[in-house]
Amino acid sequence: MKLVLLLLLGQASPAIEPGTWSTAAPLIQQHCAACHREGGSAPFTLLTHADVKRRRSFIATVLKQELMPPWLPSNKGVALQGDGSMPPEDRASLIAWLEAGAPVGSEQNPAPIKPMASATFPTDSIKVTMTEPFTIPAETIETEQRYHEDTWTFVMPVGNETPLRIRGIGWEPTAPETVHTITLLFDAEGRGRQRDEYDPRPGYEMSGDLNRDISGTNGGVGIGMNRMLLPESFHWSLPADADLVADVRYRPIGREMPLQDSFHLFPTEDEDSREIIAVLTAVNRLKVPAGETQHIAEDRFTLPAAMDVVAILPRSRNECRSMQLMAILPDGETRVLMDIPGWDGHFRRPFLLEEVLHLPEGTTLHSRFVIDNSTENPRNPFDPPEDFRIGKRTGAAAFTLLGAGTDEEGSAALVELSQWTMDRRGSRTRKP
Amino acid sequence: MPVSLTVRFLLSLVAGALLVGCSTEPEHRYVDVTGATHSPLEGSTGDLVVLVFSSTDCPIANAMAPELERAHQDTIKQGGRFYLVHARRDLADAEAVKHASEFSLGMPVLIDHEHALVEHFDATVTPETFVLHFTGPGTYEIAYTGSINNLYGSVGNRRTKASEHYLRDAIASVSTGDEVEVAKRQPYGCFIEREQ
Repeated sequence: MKLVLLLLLGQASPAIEPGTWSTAAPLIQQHCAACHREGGSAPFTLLTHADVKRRRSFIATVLKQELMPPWLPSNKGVALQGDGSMPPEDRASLIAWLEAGAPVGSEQNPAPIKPMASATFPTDSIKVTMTEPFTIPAETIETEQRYHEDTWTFVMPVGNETPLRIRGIGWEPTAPETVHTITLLFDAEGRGRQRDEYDPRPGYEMSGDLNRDISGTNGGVGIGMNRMLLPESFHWSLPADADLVADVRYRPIGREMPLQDSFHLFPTEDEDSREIIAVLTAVNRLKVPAGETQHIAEDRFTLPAAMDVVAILPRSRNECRSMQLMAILPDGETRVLMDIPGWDGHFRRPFLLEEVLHLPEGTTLHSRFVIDNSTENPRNPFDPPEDFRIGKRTGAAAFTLLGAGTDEEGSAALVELSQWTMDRRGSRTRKP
Repeated sequence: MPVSLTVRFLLSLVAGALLVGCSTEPEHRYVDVTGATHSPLEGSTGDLVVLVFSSTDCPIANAMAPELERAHQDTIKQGGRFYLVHARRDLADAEAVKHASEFSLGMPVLIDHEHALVEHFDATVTPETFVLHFTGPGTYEIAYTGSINNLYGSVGNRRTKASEHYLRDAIASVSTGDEVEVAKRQPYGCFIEREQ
């Protein structure tokens, strides 16, 4: 029997065979099972026919609303590694099967899905573990000033006596269903340690940025991503006796969860590799009154030297509806590097580019953030909305580009100008 | 220590239409794993009964566990009864017990194996609450139904923290004899599958 689906836009789709478990299972394996497995980041497993069938309406709904699988960037930007977007034909096929009642087919005992194995770490990796256990609260805690933003930072001595080149990081989560993203920074100046000592609790209650150094400069992990491996010939520099500073973003799940994660640093001996630097295009100050639906904040930053970009890290609060990063090349061509039409900080993570992107000297990075501080924005953290006014040197809304200059002088110029402008950037805003 | 119960549908529903708002209810009795019996749809004039449909593995329902326990405590203080009703037919007693313990839920936990309560109230998602205010022996009005709070703006859109506590406000209103300001709100959560 054929089922005619109505697409979300109200257009009639071609008739789609709902199929059976044998046709649905590969789609679930490809798009869902990496997280919806035992020990995964999702709240329940989707590995057996029974797992799926008893949630079929819910799954069909979140597929239709494109809430799942979670993948923030649209396909307007540059190609990304591990693209988690779901092709429309896969989505339509799975919805058709679910809405037909998730028929099992002729199989007496439908075989469960075997989730893909988690990425492994090199045997010579350096393992670093949170020095103290932490308890993620059952629900967001309130502070005197404001609701806590569900972020906590931990400082871990790496114990390396000599400087090292690190090509990748791995993550061994202890509470994967609670933690949604972690960004990392190497700190050889004791700045994180100082903050940690000031706070008597395990870790400290601040974001992981250290002055003008942005958390995430040394990578990150997140939902569906337990390692970040740089392309060949790129590395992060780990100074001697450095600390690994981990900015952990979590979402309380209704019960307390113990946390004591470990990280793996993958050393490389490649003497010709280039050091990763972070360049920021960001809005430092945001002032958006309650009720404003389309507050546009932008930044432009012109590269003083060529840059080879390997990864992009977006970030913002959830009052932000959408964000876009564009490159205006010296010849005038504008290229979209990353387009996020529906921002959700819960699924924030680093995005590695499929190929190294060369941006010539004189390229202008243009970032654009659309803020909706009204009740129309269902992700608005406050109901009713409140005036919000925030300032952050490393960006209240930002794109961090990880990459390298084409030579040492170029890299130094990129870092210097990026950091120098942090203190001087203002929010250029305009009405639509 | 949480009281964890499993529902056994002892008495079948009395045939006949039920009118929400003021109705004569069929008898429902449910037995827990220890043998204790509960009759959530029986009561006397002025009684307050709160039912919350839930699921052990619905992240939206679970995220509200601390709020549900607060609402439970509020209900007890007002002399009312509070039930957590798991809508998953095949849920095992042991799993419900473990869940209540992990999430520090102290109210009676029922498993609606036959979906008798689900169909009686036409519950659609978890979590979804029904606050009953008894107007006479066996008759009640639904003083409030819908979402627990405003933690979720919709499915997939979770706020940092709930600022409106609809269920607790409804409990307070019923306790003081006031009308609940908004008696019905859209619940957001995981769908209850009616068919097996």
